[in-house]
Amino acid sequence: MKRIVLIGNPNVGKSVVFTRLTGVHAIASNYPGTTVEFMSGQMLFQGKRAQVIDAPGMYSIEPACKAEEVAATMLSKADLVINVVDATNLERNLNLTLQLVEKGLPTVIMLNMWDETAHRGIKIDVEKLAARLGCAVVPTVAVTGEGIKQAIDALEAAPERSLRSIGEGERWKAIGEIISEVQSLTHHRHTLRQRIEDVALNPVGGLFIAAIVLVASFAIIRAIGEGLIRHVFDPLFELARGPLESLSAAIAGYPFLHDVLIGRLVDGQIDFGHSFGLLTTGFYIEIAAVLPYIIGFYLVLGFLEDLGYLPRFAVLLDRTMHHMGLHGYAIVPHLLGLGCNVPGIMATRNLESRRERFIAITLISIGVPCASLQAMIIGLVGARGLIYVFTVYFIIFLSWLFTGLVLARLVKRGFSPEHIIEMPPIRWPNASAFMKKFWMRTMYFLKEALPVVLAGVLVVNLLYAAGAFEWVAAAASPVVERLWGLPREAVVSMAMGFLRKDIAMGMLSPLGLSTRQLIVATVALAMTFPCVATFVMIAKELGLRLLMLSTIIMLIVAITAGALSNLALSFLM
Amino acid sequence: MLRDFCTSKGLHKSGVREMILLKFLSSEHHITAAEFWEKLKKDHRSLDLKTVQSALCLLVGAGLARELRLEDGSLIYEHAFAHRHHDHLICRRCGEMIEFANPDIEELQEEVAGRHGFVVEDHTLSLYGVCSRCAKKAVKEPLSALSVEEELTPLEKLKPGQRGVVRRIDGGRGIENRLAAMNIRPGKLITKISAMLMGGPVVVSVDGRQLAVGHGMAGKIMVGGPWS
Repeated sequence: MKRIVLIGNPNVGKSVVFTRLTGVHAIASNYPGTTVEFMSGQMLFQGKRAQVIDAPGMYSIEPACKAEEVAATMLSKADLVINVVDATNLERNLNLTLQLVEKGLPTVIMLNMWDETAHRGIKIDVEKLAARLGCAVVPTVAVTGEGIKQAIDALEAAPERSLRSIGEGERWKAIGEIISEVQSLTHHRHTLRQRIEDVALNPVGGLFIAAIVLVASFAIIRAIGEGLIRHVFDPLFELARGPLESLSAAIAGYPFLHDVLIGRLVDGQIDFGHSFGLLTTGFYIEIAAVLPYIIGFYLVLGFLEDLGYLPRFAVLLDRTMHHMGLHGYAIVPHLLGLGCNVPGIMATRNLESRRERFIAITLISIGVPCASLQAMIIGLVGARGLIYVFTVYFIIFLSWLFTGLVLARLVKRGFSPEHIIEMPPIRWPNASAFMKKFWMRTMYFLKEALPVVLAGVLVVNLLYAAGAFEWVAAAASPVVERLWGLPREAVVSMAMGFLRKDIAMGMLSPLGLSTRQLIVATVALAMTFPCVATFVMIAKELGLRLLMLSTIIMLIVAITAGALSNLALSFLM
Repeated sequence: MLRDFCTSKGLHKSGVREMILLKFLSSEHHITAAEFWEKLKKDHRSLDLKTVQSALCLLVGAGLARELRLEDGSLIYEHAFAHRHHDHLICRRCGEMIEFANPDIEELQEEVAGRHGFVVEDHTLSLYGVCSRCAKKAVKEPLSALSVEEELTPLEKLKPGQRGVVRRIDGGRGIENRLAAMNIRPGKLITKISAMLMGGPVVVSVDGRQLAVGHGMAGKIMVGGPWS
């Protein structure tokens, strides 16, 4: 099977092209480095099946970070190359293009974002460019699919070419010649878009905008989440109450089965939050408590991503992040981690050094509660008062900050604050691409989360029945009872946290905790072991040895933070 | 020796010429005719530049001196008598000339000439550049740098909104290549947009694209006019 590899600078639209070619949905956003791992799919090529690979973006054939290494490896295995080029930034893109052409593989060049060239006053002579490069050049608009078919036709006809080597020093000269021959620019005035781009990066105005964006984001996510719960999901579950209660009556004769499926009745009724049966709390937590916030979060995040705002946020925070041994760009994995830690940890591949990745991953798993957990924090702690929600966030933030400061000093070696990041142009999100991404992420959440939650509820019920928790509770009681001031049953919730944080939070609710205990338990839960999916991801990214190290740090921080906040709160409350 | 040469060429030797030869042999290594004349004038008021020039030409003809034509067209003389053949490194900033001889280069020359069926009788090889002393000075005072023609400013010192042309990257090849791949390289128009507070990154615009460059790296990007 022939292997076709999509190669190009970061943020030129490779993933959109990939989705067009294969029908496999790849997450695409408007900032460099969305793809950190290659994706593979298939398409019909020359009447046969061919493998298509979406490689991470690269500026040059010589890799500068892990994601670029992946791209270089993919390139070395390519039979044919599709070079996706940003038509609005031809000169810079040609550097990679010329390096690719030198390889002599059958290549087609997609001049992507062709629609944007017109209103930027850019004119490109496509035929002349093709003649100069010695391979087919096709203008495309990947988001609408324009030109994609012609490009594939051209690739099918593309010949194997003889190697043509241009030296490093001469490449820029060659590019200069090509550009002056094929491209003409008409001067255009400062547009509104440019003005917004400039203000967003102003050291003062930018911070002001960032603050507004953050506050607005949280407000919108909460509004969407609560709106959905109140008007859609709660009424939905009320509809299910009737059938479930008749089921409950029907199986009342089998206490074990009743416990597993329906759970304990509260005042003779099913309580979706507390009953803790598979069909009651199991579904309710995921669907009615967590999913609404996930929807809100991914709508807002997706919008900010496609707008091109996130890297600007990173630049504003760069200086602050240096104190934690990180580049400003490390804020992007953090933000992704707010949805789910797994994609957040994967996104650290854009960071340059292994050391920086270690710090970022450890910090994300300690200090970035995922959307599922946050939904439960807002639901459960928020019921006691909004001020307590802020208290929880504040404690987690302090722990994150402190851990970062200490880590940066402990693993100082090899930090180079020198970094260049490209700012994507601010552009209005494409509606269909935006919805597609949102849909993918939501479905991913349901597919990943729901089975684990249901299995988790089942396991907990079985273990309860078997009395296994008594043993765990006894082992962990010095920390849980003495240091954190929590009842020993809370251990069960902590253990459950290893499977899923949201369900673990749900298990705290029937314990009748005081507000202080609830805050301490929430903080401890948020910072101890990440869920098992995150754990596996960390092991994959860092290896077992660093995973252990990261876990030890995590435990120390969680135990300390839990104990200190217990102590501090006992004076305050 | 000069006497022998003069006789063989049928020229009469003069006291002046002998004096010039002796002075030349006792003088410093590299000198232009004008400089040499200035020196001689102190003791020999009547001497004129033309006499000195023709005398030096004679010395070159006699194989006692060698003539070196510099980039700017001026001629420089050095003695050839009792000196082994050597080539020159010439500093463009301070004019320092360093002599060197490298058998590999000599051999290579013969080889190249041989390939063309060419017989080498004589040659001069001058490499132009910056001597180590001037290079060191440039690192210490980047502003006055190596620029003879114009003053360059590091990118970080530009005012927000100011536009200039990238002239040079003061960094290793690695940095140079990375910047080049992002379209920051000599000859490109660059606009500084802003700089984050307390030594944060510097935001620039090249070809209508914004790039955030680390503070330290921004100091290595030297920008010159025309400004706008």
